[in-house]
Amino acid sequence: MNYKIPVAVWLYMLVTTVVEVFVFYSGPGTFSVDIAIGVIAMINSLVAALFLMNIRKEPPVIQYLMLAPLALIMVLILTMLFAFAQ
Amino acid sequence: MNAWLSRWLYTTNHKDVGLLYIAGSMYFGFIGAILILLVRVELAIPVCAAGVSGMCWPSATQTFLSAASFNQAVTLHGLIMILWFLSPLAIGLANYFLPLQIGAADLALPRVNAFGYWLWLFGGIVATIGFFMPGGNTAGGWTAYSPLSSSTFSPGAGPTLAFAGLIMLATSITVGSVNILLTVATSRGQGITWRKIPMFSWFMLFTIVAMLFSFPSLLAALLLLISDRVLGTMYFSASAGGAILWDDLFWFFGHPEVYVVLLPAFGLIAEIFPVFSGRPLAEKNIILICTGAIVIPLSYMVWSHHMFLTGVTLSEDEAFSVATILISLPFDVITLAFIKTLTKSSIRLTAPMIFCIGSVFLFIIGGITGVFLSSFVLDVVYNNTYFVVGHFHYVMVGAAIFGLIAGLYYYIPKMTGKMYHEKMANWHFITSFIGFNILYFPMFFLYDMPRRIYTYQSLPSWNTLNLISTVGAFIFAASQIFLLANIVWTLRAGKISPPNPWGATTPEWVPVITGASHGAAASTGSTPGAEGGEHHRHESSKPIWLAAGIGVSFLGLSLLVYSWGLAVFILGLAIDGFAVVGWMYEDLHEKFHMPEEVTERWPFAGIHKMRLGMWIFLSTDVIVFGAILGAYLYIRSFTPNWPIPGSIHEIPLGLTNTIVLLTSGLTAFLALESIKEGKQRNMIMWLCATFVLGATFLGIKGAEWYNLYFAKGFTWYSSVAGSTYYFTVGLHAAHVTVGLILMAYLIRKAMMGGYTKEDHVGIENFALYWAFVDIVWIFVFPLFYLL
Repeated sequence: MNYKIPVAVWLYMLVTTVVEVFVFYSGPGTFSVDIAIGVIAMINSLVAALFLMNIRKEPPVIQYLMLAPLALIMVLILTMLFAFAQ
Repeated sequence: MNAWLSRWLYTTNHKDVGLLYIAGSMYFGFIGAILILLVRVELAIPVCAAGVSGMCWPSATQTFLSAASFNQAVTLHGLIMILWFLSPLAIGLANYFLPLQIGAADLALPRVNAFGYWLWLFGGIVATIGFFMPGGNTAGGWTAYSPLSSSTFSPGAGPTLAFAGLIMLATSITVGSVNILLTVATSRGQGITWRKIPMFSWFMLFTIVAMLFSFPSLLAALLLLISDRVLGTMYFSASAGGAILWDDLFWFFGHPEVYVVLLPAFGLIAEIFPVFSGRPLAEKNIILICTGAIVIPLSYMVWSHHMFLTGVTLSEDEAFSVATILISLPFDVITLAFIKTLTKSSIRLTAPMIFCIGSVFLFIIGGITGVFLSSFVLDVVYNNTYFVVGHFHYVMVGAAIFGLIAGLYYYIPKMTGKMYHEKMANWHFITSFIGFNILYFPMFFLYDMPRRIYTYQSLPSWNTLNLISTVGAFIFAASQIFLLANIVWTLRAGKISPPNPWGATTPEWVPVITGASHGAAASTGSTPGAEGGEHHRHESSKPIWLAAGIGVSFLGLSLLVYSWGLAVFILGLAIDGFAVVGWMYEDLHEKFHMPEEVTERWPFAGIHKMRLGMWIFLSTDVIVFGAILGAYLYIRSFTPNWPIPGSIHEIPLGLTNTIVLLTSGLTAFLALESIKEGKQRNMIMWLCATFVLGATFLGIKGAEWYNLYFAKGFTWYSSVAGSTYYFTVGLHAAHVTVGLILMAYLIRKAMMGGYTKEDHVGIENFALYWAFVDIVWIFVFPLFYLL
């Protein structure tokens, strides 16, 4: 069994999660810190989807199946926030 | 147990379940009709002006229905007709005929199908029990707008029961959608390529896709609502902008639901028009493209037109107004294609055909009046008036019901093996059509009368129109007796139907597919000789027990205000525990077995049926978690005084838990990799490690909650911050708990040698699920601990 990739992905996510917390302590509540934490979370979730769920090896139809609800829910969330931002 | 009773309670056969859906939907349709007749009696005449007597109610407090009873009747009428009558009638037909049309032996997951049915039925019963509670049932309209649906404005157990019933329904529809989509994707008979799928099945497929992503939004909204009502969380409190939050979550479901109701009827029309006009369906491919565009993305891009007057930004109004006009275009194309099919054809005016023509005619009226409402300027005038009521009834009752009734008549010979009474069916159409238009057409002239008022002062322009409308309601309701009488007559005295009485060419009439066996054909009295083959008996008592357990536990949850409510809740959980263990036992010992058949599976050929099912399920879970995280972001943006990050939660504890969960993701992955290499012992070891890590995660979470609740006084009912934290993290913890139960089953099965290098889809599915749970936490941790 090839342990290298899953262990590397696991280590990467542990390190970035710890980095996420360090970034938080560098300036809690500031805009740039919030953005950085958000970006790290998004990249981590993408890595988990690609390597733990192995979505990268699935046929395109499965990838669309997961992307479609993501896109739809993003439309809902952005619309809710946009309506608030008036 | 009596064989007849055992068959209907434990069946998992798609035909039986289809018939149960049809019968159940008619039962609920009857209740919904009675409720609206009461409402129409109330509205038939106004309140008498001072000193006047005659055809009017003596005073506003001496009317046929009280204001409270009126509101409950209107609310439950809407809920029942849309969710327990219209959609399930279509699902019943789909259950029966979709597998026949695509040459599948049954639905892909027969037990899940039966579970979906019982959950739907018990959900309806739970929702209607609310009438018998002190204070009555929910009365805030079928939309359950916040804050009308809150404990403050809708107190008592009745409304909670209604919302609990709705949660059961949304869950039932979601699992049913996964099942039907999976069936079309992986169980088509040999030769049934995508191009050869008949139109009804195509339209049901589109309907399912619309359900798949819309009902989870309703489910999320209802979970939040019931949490507010039972646990005292504050999602929909006014201070957190709860009214708009509910509107968004509800209508994100509610608008696609219109197409969920309508599209099956269109599918039946597309099936029936060619048969009785002697011409192939015009522009079939264009119809399919248009329907596809309606479902994704357009149906999810128009919900905010229900919120034009809620104070959202003007630019949002404009965008949704344009999107709404846009969605009417594919419907125009579909309607024109239907009409083109009939031009220069030799029409046979049988009952299915005239009901289809009636459906298209009524849809045109409903559609045109809908275009008026897409304008946010006109909506200022029409919003919340009887014009809107008239419009959506022309679409959802006129187009949908007439189309579905056409389908019933079309398929009665197939379902019963006998011909219905044609003349009675014709009278059914004539009286229905006249009654329907007398009922709803006057409403277009009542564009200045607000809906949901239980009575009104005498106004010449309202009085006559309301009276006419009520007369129409009774004609329309009475005309349905023709349908019931016809069904009874057909079963008792109908002539034996030839195998293909209409000369149709679709596979359910002309079975040319190999592989399809359809167990209950003989027992349901289907057309002799139309289907042969082995009778697959695959009954199971577990679906009904599982659904009953959920029903009982929701009943208990809704009745927690009573001292015995908790006992009922625990009883429900115990029944569920029994059913889940029984379900797993059936699997472990292969007591329930569906034969694998050779099927057309492109483009899913390389994907195991169960794994595809897991992917589809996870796609719906994306919507549930997305809606709940979206609700959090919305509330967070709306609430000025949010706790400073790090001031409430122990960040080191959250980090530790994140590391534990991420590590469990790795061990779950390694378990899968191990069995892929045939190393069973390693797999069991990694699964056990995952179990321990998952349990550790829950243990740390429990300790954290204990500390937050008792030491810091941070509760779910004291602030919106607490509400969002406990609910979101709690829902995630519930997913972890389900994962632990699954793992216990997988470990047991693995120890019995149930997984091999070649057959390990259960482990694959678990690894997928667990990775998804990890991903959700990757968002939850920073959102609640760091931001």
